Amino acid sequence: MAITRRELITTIAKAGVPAAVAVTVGTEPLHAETTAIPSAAVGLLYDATICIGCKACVSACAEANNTPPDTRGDGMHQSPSDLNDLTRNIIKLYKPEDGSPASFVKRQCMHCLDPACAAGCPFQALHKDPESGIVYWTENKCIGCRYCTITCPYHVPRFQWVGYNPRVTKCELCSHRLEKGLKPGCTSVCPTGAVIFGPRTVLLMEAKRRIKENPDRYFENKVYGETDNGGTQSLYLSHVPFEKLGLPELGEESVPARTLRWQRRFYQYFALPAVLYVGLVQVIRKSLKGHEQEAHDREKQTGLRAQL
Amino acid sequence: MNSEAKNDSRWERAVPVYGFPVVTRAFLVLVALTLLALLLTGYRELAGLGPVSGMNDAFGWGIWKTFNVMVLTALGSGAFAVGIAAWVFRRKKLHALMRMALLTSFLAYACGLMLLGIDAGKPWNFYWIVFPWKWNMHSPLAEVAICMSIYAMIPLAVENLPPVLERLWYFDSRLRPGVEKAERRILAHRRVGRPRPGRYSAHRHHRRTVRSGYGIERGRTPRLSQSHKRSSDGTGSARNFVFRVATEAVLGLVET
Repeated sequence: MAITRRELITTIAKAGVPAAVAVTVGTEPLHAETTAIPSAAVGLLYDATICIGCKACVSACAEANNTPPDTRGDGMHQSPSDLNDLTRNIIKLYKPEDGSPASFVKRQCMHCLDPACAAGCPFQALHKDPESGIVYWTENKCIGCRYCTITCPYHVPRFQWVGYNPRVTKCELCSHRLEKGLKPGCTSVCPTGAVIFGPRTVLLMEAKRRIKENPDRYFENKVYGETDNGGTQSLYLSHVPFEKLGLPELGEESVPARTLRWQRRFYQYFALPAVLYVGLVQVIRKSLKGHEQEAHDREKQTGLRAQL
Repeated sequence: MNSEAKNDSRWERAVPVYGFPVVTRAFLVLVALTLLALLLTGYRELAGLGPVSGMNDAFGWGIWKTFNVMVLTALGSGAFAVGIAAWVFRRKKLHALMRMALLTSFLAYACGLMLLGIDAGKPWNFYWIVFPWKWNMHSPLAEVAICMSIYAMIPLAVENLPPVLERLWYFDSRLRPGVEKAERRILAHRRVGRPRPGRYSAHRHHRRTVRSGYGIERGRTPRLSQSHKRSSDGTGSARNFVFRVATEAVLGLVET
């Protein structure tokens, strides 16, 4: 009489497994698995071997984006210790204690080709511009859930922790300056040309030219961002391992694509949930047989109203 | 026991208990705690998340989102788990727990939704949730927010309606005369149109049984204190009636 666990599971598996296989095999690749490079993708190329760590780009960035100086420590002006809600761009120094080569690193948004922040954002407050590929934050779509700060593998978007109307701060490649035909703040002041702005394809060619001219100079002769995390629009050259500069080894597959493949397949066309639902409804319909009659019988016997 | 074996083939049913005191000492303590929490919420809305929650750039979610999503939805899935056990795996004993489980679930989910609103930095932008084309279905958090609100607002709220309506209907109904009038009108209209076949109708059976079984007269507004006097129990006070019903429920002697 009572349905066994085995019976239920086999019933669902009989219908569900072929459906799952059909859905997984018979569908075209997901969008995230075939990320297209935006037609006019612009970006930054940062060469850690040229950077002298003058931090001119940090103040130029604050000036270009009209952010007030970060005086929250003791009320005095000081350079920020990390990216925060007033800092879109920062220069850090990697200096190992064993005396091996040191390196500066400039950190700002990587403008990934398949951005994890945009994949995680619930209401599309973060989106990638289809032309320029710049990842923008839209104030009136953001609910302040801080998912972007959690999902970004580079830990770039920062939340404003104080104030009733917080915002998310990240580099948007000075898009208001690009509209006027100006370069982003950081690249316009760099005295050594350690960071340059341009179309992504041009920057990639330039980086490869530098590697070709100085074959022993760069770490693994690799441009970080060419394929890492599905490709980024901010490219890096360095003479120390990229991991030491806070640029983790993420592989060629982007972070969202890795999870999306499974997440979407389970729910694609709502096929698997529908199979499960129909199975459950069938079992419950069987269970319901005679239920109501029984309730009325009991009401008659006891004079107390039976619950459904 | 013999009766136990008999019970296994029947759905166990709980019996509603009315008339117990609501404002107790524990209730007042919890109300005080809630008021404190509301004060802190007000402070959080004005001052921002950082000063209240202890979150910062390194700990963007802290313990809060984890608690909202993982603890409260887990507690809130009680009704689903009990329902599956009772209805799919036919554990008929558990059927008596369904109403309690549904209420607990609804409260947990409602709390979870409220806490998501408090936890979000810009909760007024949550209105985007009513436009499905603005959802980002790549986002697990969007799925959580959408599923939580739909589950709490539609299935759980609807499943929790019967106890409320029952209470209104049987014990405190000012709507009852109006509803009965409308019902009579509709039924009369239908009878004129085409007579119903003499089949067994669960609905009519229900009406007959319940109304006669309760000793509640038509057209009157019964309350607990009056209805118990007319009931066949013939006991003294309302408290005695409640005690008897509760005892019956606990001992499972309803079928005698």
